[in-house]
Amino acid sequence: MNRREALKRTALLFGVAVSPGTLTRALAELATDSAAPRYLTPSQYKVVAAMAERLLPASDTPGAIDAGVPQFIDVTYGLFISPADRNKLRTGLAHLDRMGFDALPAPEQDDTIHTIATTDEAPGKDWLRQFRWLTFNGYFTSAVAAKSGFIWDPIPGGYDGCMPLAKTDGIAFFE
Amino acid sequence: MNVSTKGTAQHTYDAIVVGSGISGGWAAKELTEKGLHTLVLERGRDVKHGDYPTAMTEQWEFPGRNTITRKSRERQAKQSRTDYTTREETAHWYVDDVDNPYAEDKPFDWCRGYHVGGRSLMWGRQSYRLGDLDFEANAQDGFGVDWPIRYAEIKPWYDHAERFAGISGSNEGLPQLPDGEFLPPFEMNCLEQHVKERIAKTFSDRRLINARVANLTQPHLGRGNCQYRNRCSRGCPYGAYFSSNASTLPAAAATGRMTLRPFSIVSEVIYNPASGKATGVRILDAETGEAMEYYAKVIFLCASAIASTSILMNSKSDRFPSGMGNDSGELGHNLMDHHFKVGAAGRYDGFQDMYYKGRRPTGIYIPRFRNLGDAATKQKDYVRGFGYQGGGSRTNWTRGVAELARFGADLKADLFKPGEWRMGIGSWGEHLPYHENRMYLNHDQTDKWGQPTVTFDCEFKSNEMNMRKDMQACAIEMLEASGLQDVNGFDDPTSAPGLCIHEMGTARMGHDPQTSVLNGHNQVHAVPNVFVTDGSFMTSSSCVNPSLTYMAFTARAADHAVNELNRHNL
Repeated sequence: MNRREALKRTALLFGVAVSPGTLTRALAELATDSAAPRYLTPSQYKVVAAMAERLLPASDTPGAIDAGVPQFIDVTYGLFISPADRNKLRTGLAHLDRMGFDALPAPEQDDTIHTIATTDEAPGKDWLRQFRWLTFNGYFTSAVAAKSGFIWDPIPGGYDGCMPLAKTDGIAFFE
Repeated sequence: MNVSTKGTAQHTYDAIVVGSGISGGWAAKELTEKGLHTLVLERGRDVKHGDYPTAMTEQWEFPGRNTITRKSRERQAKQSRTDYTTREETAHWYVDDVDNPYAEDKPFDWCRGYHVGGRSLMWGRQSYRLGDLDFEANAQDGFGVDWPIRYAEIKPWYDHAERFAGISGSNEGLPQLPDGEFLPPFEMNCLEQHVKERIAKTFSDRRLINARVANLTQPHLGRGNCQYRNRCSRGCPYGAYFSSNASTLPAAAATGRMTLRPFSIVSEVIYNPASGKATGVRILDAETGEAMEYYAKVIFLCASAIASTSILMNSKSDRFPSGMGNDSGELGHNLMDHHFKVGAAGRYDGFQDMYYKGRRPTGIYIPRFRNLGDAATKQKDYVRGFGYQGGGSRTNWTRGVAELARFGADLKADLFKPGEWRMGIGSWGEHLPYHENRMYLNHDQTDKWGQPTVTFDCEFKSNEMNMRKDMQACAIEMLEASGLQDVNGFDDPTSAPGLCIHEMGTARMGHDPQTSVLNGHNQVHAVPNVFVTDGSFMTSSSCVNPSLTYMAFTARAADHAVNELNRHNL
């Protein structure tokens, strides 16, 4: 089944109306919000966007850029994470920036990530773990993920503790 | 000291209640409903039911996606030790540690909410009764002093409290966990039901039951039923869990006899040596610093355990040179909290085709099964006992973060699906009443209102540590017996008292004024018109969540206060 149809069907089962038009508009708003970063430098930000998009690329569901992950990482870097974590993040981004990561073709970007994940190659597995956390948190808690990836059920109203997974076509509720 | 002397009549009430949290709200309701004009003094700001800024906020609407901000880490460093209470969703309900400092001779995580409703807005809502196993414990094993109460005397008040508050749960006929007046319980999911059945088949002495929780599974006394959003500690617009704001304070206000004064810090209770009674309280206005006095025939201290005891300690006179009611020397002593952060979790490979809808505000409970008074359950290494809370669920997207080499569209698609089933149970254990565990006032370190600050000297000792080994071992064996795989135990013995946010004791009740602060009706032995009904009265800690017990004892004490007034004894 077409994924949009599946989502629409399951959303209607739970009383949440999601029209394709609404989705498209929401995605468009976020995608064009390519404002300059507030805390990271422009070149660090390009690396962030490129990395995040390789980790969670647009497919039949929106990708990291669609979901505003680069902006989230920028704000988190600027306002929320500890000075130690900021240094760590910035050092790794600087390394990837020097390497020209954001200008590489996608397959080479994927190879680079794979190398970091499986060897001691800079910026290191710890850095990648931190970056993955920022990316995944920014993505899977976003409005875009809630409304076009998960089943979004803000006011469930009741509890069914033993419901066939088929009832949601195998999709999880947004938590 | 400049004391504003506005007309004494304007400052005189039938009763004064200090604090508006779990017990203060109940005191206000009971006293006003029985005809007393009651002044409720709350040190913090007002919060009306519905004034819950983050109640409907979605995850993406928090700038940090519901993290602990740097400002919280700076201003709420100690409150942040829980790693969850000062997230963006609830940080505004916890105190500024810089403005409200305290000291630690030994580590103590003192979590406070200074606003109308207090921690009744943010509490965990688990609600269980104490029984005679608890009330007889001190007498049986010699730790602490005997409770001046047995279950038969408090049972009608538990009934009363549950009927008003609305507690969802199941009756189980277990003597160690008395049954109650329950709304239908929150349901279990597939895995919990399975584990319940396996535990029943495998262990004749243990049972997994529905948790008993102060959330509504059906509308109750004008409040709406739970909508399964699991956002309770932010405040519930539906009124679907018990808080002072949604329940007791509106009931008190409806009588027309409650006056609520926020920003009122009670510094001491005023004693009249000629009558041998208290005449009122001295307060500081938290905003202006102005000192003033209020007068009443009866005073209820419900400021929370540490705060009520601090007020008594600060109420010095020739009769009470070391604090009001401290003839025994026990004021500030016998401080307890529950120890927790020990249990087990594992994976279940079945129910792959099953899921659940709705986010319950609770899970399951496993009542105490150790040291029940018979030979079969008696433990060699420790006295008293523990219970478990927990639940089953399918993992979410966070499971994908650590698998570093996996990324891309396939992983993304997978993480939109529920992951494996897991079940975790964590245990809460009793903390013995040790005289040397205490808090005291430091008059050299004062806060911004010139009030002495608190210093804690409290720890868990060998009985607690020995108990923890069994808490973990039993958790592992129950989950393994249920067919869970890769079951791992956990135990964080460094977790300090206070972190559980069940701090209690310091003004214990007892038969003997030489060894206790309060009598069996929560009256200060030597000052019968001062009642203390928050956690400070607890003579032992049991292993169950204590707030329901504070509600019951408060209602009973209020009844006694009014009866005594009517009998002209106060």
